[in-house]
Amino acid sequence: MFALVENNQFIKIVNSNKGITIGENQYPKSIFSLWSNSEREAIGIYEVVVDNTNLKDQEYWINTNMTYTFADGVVTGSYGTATARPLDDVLFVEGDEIPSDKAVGDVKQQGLKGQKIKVIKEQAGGLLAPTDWHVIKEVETSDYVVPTEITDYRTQVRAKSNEMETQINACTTVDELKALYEYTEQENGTFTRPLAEFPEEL
Amino acid sequence: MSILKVDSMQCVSTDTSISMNNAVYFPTGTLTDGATINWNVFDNPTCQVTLGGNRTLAAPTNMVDGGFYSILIIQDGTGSRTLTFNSVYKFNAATAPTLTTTAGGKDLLIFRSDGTNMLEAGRSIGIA
Repeated sequence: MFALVENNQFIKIVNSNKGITIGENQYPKSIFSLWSNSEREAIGIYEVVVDNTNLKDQEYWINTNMTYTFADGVVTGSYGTATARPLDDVLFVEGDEIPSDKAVGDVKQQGLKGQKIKVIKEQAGGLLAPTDWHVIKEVETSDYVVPTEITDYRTQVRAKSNEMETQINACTTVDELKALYEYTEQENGTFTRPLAEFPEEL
Repeated sequence: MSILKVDSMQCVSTDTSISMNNAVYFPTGTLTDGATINWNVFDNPTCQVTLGGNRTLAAPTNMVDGGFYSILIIQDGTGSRTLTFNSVYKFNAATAPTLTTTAGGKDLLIFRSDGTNMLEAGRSIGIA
């Protein structure tokens, strides 16, 4: 990524896929690939150094747009302080622009906890579905009993799903929630995360 | 119809058509390579230049409305030389051409002048 600098001021980001006109000169796009940094800098084009210090996982935070500064011969692009996405659902309140199919108190924006729990419920449903037929058959026929192995597995899936929901609901900050999903290497070489895991599929 | 016959090279001005029995052409002139390349289109309406580095083509001198001019740009033995164009050169899509990078590679640009600008009339990039 390149930036145009004039009078020691950042002017704009330039598109390196096309040529650029500076003053009375039209430069071909090949200057971005063929010229050295010093050649480009001589006409005011600098490669942008990106500072990702404030860049956070956009699943959990809303990052700002990048802003650019020119100092000491370097154009730096940096992010402002990211805003945490809401943990809990945001509800419609009086004064909001409310769609016709919604009302005050309905969910306006699902919070991170709600999103995560929804995923876990979907995963649990997906794990249970292949063995649902055992349960249906037991209900609908008199000579069939769900194998213990299946019953135990389904019980474990539900238990782990509930455990994960409890863990998620216990979080009070976005950092805590994110940490639940972060795997770390254990002494035995395995990787685990604080959040519970579903049992191995049958 | 009036016909003007020119038997020897001399400066003429006429409102009549001009007919030649043999080919009319402008011998290729060679521009001097340098950081800034100057092009006198009166002296060298058809010209070539070999780029020995990254160069800038200055605004041409002596262009006239309706004049056609061509320049053959040749990469030197190193290649990957760029040419920056003065803003009087007007290109298709307002984008200066990207020259071939091959050592010894050739690119041909043709312009028609409106007396102020050089309007791109055609280009052949990477002529082999």
